[in-house]
Amino acid sequence: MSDESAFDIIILGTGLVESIAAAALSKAGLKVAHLDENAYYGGAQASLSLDEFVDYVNKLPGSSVSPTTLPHSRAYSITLAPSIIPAVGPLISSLVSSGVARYGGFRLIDRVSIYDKALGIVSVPASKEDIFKSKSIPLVDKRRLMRFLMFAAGDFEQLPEMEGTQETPFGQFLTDKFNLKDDVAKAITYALAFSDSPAEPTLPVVQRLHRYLRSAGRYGASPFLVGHYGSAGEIAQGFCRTAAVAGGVYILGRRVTSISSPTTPDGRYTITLADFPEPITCSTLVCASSTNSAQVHCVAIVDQPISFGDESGAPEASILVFPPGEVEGGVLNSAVTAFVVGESTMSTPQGRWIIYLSANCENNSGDVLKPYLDALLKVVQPLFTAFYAQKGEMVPVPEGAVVSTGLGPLLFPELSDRAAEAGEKLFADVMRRIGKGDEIYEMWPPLEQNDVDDED
Amino acid sequence: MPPAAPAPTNVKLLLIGNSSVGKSSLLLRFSDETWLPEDEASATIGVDFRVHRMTVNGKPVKLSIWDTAGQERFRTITASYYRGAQGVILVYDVANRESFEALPRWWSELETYVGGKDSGGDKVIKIVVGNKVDKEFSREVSAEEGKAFADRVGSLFVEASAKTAIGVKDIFEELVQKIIDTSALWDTPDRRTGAVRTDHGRGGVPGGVQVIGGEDHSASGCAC
Repeated sequence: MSDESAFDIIILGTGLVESIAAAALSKAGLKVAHLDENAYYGGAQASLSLDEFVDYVNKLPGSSVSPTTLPHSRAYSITLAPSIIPAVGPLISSLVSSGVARYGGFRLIDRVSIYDKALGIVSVPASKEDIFKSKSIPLVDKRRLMRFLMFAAGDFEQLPEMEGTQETPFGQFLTDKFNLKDDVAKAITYALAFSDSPAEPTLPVVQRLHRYLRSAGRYGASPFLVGHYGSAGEIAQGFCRTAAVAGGVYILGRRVTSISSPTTPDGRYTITLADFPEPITCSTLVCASSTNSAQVHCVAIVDQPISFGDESGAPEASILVFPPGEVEGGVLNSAVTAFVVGESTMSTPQGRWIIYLSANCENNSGDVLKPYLDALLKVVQPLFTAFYAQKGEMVPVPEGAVVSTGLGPLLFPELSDRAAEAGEKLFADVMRRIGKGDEIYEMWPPLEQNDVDDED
Repeated sequence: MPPAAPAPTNVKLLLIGNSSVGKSSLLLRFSDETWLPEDEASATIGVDFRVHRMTVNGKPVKLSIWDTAGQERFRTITASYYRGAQGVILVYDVANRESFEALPRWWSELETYVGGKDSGGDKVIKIVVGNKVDKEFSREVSAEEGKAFADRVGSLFVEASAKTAIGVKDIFEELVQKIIDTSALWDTPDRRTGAVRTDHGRGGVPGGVQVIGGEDHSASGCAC
């Protein structure tokens, strides 16, 4: 067996979590082989062309895809994991420290709106300025809302409002402690804190809101960014490239035909791949989490901008949250998030918009999202629709492998940062496994001067 | 106050081609004026991209030239590698026939990722490079054959040697000259049609943000 097929570490799966770990492990000087059975990068967070996406969805049981074929399949980057990135948090930190941020572009989120049964789409103020300017919020409510936002953005943990209320349902907390009216409380719960339910305990909601409020202003007014070309999948590819620059070897689109576990404590794993000349071996095997989270999804493509209420200009990266019970015919008990992206996210051709609808729930098909899509589109006819469900299921993992932490179920803005944290943990777990856990490792060593793309 | 220096035009170039044809060597010869002897230059480790400044038609141009990071070996180059490229350097080894015969496959991968004529991919300028002409004694591909392939696909052509530096500057100068000349034709306000994007696809897009460290960076594109 040649030296070329012997690795320190083999990682199975190129999802965002594994890709972050692969980059850090390769940079730490370990010899890494990174495998994926798919021909594309990104696993459950992949960005796919329209044709690849249709192939993917057609293989899922219970899915329904419209028969329409659209030209310029490659000009679409359709993400399997619609997500946004808080401007302050673990993923942005990893992107900057690893240098992966230089590989691609990002865009600010234009606005977040909420769907109201009576009023339709209502824009949610994103900043203090917005609140002052808003004509729809009565003055007394403005003052209460401001007081709450100051509380959440500050050192709330020390404040009397938090005494004994950590476990209080958040909806009740807003009423009891801040006298906020139902519609304002609803906007905070669903569209600022991205909670799934007013019953969520107060502490985690306020912690999340605190992070988002502190993210606003770093790169612009919105606390959130989306990466170009489908975000999560493109970012995963960036981390894989960084791993490759540090010597990592990439093998995609080959099925793993056998994995033999070591028989002695210091033995090696041997992995054979379909259509691959010889087996590859490693001392440490790493694989993606065994659990998928249950979600329902809809992807629609339209050829005109979706009106998000009164604002001028076509939204290019906007979010609309449907709280439970607001949509005629909508049966889901959890909030549904709609994410609309246009050409300037580089994920659609000119004059096309992608609408992603997603919700955390266990269901056999994505058809439950149809009423929500209708509420958003009103009279607009989509050029393409796909509805599908992702089941929460256990996938077997090889014995003895270091396994990454599962991600789901996640609230809409949380995927990016939880993936970054899981990537860091996976890196630390592997270092511990190979006996380097006691050494102090910087996850991301300083970038070399040659790598620095100096700015003008 | 003297007038501010004009902002440089950003140009993204890519290298592709089989393993061991000398892509990284060409890059390092051009940008760092160095040569790594073959026994030390195993499969690519450590070359990500290089930034190089030059002047074309009296105007500053900032090149970022990207290497494959070894991901060509099992043909797992990421789709993201190809994004936003305005020029592609397609390299083979004149002393290795197989690397020349692989060019059509690389060409079709290019058409997949940067697009063909119908999706604006023809705006991406390509140059075919026959490297290692210092190995004249073991040449397996004639200059005529190389030129014929380049002509057939409508690409520029240069023979070069990263080892002796012959032809290396020509590759980059000819390619960039043609990109600048061509971009003058399409880099107008309505250039957002088609698949070609400038500036690594970052500052050049409305609402685009460049993610860098520090505490407060507002949008670098238009702040809409």
